[in-house]
Amino acid sequence: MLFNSINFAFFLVIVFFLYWFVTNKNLRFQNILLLVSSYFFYACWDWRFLFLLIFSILLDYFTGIKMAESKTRGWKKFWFWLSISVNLGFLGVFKYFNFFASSFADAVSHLGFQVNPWTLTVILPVGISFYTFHGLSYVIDIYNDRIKPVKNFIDYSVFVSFFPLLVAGPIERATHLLPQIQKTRTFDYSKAVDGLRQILWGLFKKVVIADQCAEFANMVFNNSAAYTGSSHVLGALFFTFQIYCDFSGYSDIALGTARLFGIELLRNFAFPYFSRDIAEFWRRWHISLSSWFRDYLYIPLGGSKGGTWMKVRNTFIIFLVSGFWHGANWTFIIWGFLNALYIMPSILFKTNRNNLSTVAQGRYLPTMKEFFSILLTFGLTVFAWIFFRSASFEAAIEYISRIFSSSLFAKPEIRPKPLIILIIIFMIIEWMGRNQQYAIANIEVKLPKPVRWVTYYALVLAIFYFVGAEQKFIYFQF
Amino acid sequence: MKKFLLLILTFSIILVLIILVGILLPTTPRASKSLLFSKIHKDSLLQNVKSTRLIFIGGSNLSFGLNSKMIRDSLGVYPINTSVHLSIGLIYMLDNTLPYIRSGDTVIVSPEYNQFFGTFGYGGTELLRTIMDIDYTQLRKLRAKQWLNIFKFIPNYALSKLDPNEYFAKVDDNDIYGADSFNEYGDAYKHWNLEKQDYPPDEPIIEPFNYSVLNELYIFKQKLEAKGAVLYITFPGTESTSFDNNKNQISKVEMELKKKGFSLLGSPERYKIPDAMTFNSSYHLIKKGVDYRTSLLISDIRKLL
Repeated sequence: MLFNSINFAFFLVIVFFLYWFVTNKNLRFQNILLLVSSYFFYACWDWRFLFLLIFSILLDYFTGIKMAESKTRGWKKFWFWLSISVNLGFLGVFKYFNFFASSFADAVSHLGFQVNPWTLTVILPVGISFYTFHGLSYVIDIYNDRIKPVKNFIDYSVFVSFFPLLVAGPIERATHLLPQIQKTRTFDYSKAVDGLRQILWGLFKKVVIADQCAEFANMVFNNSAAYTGSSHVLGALFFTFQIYCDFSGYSDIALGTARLFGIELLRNFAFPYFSRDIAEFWRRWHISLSSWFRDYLYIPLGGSKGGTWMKVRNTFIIFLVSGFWHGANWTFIIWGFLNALYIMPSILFKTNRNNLSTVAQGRYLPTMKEFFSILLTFGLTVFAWIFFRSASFEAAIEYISRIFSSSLFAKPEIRPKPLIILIIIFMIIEWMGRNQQYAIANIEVKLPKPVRWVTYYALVLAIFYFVGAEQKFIYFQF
Repeated sequence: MKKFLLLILTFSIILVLIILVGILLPTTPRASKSLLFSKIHKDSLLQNVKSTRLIFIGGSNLSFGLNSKMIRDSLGVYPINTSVHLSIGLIYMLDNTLPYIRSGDTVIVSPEYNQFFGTFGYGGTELLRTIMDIDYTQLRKLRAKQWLNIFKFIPNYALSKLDPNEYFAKVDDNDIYGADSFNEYGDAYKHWNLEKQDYPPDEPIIEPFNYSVLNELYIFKQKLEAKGAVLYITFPGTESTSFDNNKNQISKVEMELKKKGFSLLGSPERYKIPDAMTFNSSYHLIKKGVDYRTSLLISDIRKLL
């Protein structure tokens, strides 16, 4: 059940009414409703994997309790490692087994041996990387005595499987979400309206921008040989906007949906394409994953406390792991590696925390320096996305070599002028709203009611006009 | 909460009104020149052709992949190619043809493999446009499943009528997807003098097999036989790479058709078309591919006669 499908719209309306009109008197009933609807939502993808999800929830729930009850450090460690190894084991089997098997076979064949790797023909359970990371953060926090385990299975289960975040995040923390699940929630008009507005903006980004960009990005990436260098540049740019609008659009819908139920989820995007350096980009892109890696990998590895060498090593580790988290393909690892390389100057010169505030705060336009910094960061990001999007390392290299061919200055074959104008308008709106949670969050106070309503209708009609076959969200595959 | 519900209600009512205006507007000049309007000519062929008839039903694998004149010259029967677009859905194609069937007709259905998976067979946006733009009285003939499938396209359809391009943009007379891009038998022919275009091959079909579409085909067969006509199923001419990407799904279709006892013309493998003979999608063929596929079909039909 995709967020951009009619089925989800009906599902959301039904759950909303049951939540606020039938179960609203009792928190326990509200949570049971959220749990049942979340399981139903997940089963609509593939009911068989519901058992895997429930098993993963049960495992972390019980190991969490067992860790807290452990009388000795040894037992605590045992329960901790049991949870970690089973969770990562599932992730390894479903997501990475074939990658390791075929990579091993390739490596051995270079030594002159021929091995036919035994691979699994399994489908990747949707959302496994996300809910596994939810569970891991919970277990690690209990192990480190940061939180106490939850004794109510329903509450814990809702924390992991709450349907807006179940399949593609944001990756929540127990300290942030669990207290909200355990607390009585009352309907808040302005929050609900804000939720609807964020859903609308997310759908606009997904259906109107991302899906249209996908069409042209796919044309070039899937048939590279047929296009000029200039079309390759456009293809990479279209993918850059596609992945941003696809994933941040998804996150907007998730956050808006959760707000309709009185729950605030972690922010996942903060206008990353206006970043002045790569360090800032990573504080603004997929924030819940970046902060997860920072808290549960970078800091335990020593973070930036152990001198320059340790900082460099740890930075490379988190970016490579982050790349690998996205999928079992060398292209993701190289994408991670490139980002680690990009961030190195700011790590070495200790400028990685230079740009903490929003760009051009209090001004309409950036300074020339800011403008060129944004442009450079954006260019580097576009280049890295080529690896992320390509089917293989060889395809990415071929794509790049075509960009730098003599046809770079030829007239591009793809010239979707309306889409380019739309992207420019979209970026202007994003720029104007860059201080907000999402671009149109402040429309309520900035625009008079009639203009606001015209804006909402324009967005809805644009969505209806462009909606075609339901397009999956890119991050569902991770 | 009351305020919130009132807000939603007001917003929705205005939205529905805008959509209703779009629906009620007459068919746009641009839409009336689309290939969907070839249905009028095809229906008149079904109504008026008197001689021994060979009726083809399917999606664009037939409209962009058949040379009916070759069949007429070889077999001496009058072919009627009723096919227009895959997204009209197999169920509507069957329902639309059935009233025109007469005793002695031979009907050959060549469904794209997608028709048997997910909800493809129930039709999509092209079904909605065919009905709303050409003959809205057919709305009441649609099944619930078809309604559910096309419902989501209504806003898009309505808003397209508010698009100025639909009224003022010039329509290319040589458009291969135009209402007049079909010959007297119903074959699309304007692409026959064009070269192969580049396009990505089909990804594997991931939707589950839809047994209800298969059952509808079986019911159609029974109704045909009751009218004194006969039904054969053949397979779409499919680009080799896309075929290989969907090998398991194609085998499943063949196996289920055999299990139901349909009379099959050839096998999926036989209608696997070399990549170089396809035009701009895995089911659309260049002239060489059209003739190749038609010659295979002729030899398969000849075995029956």
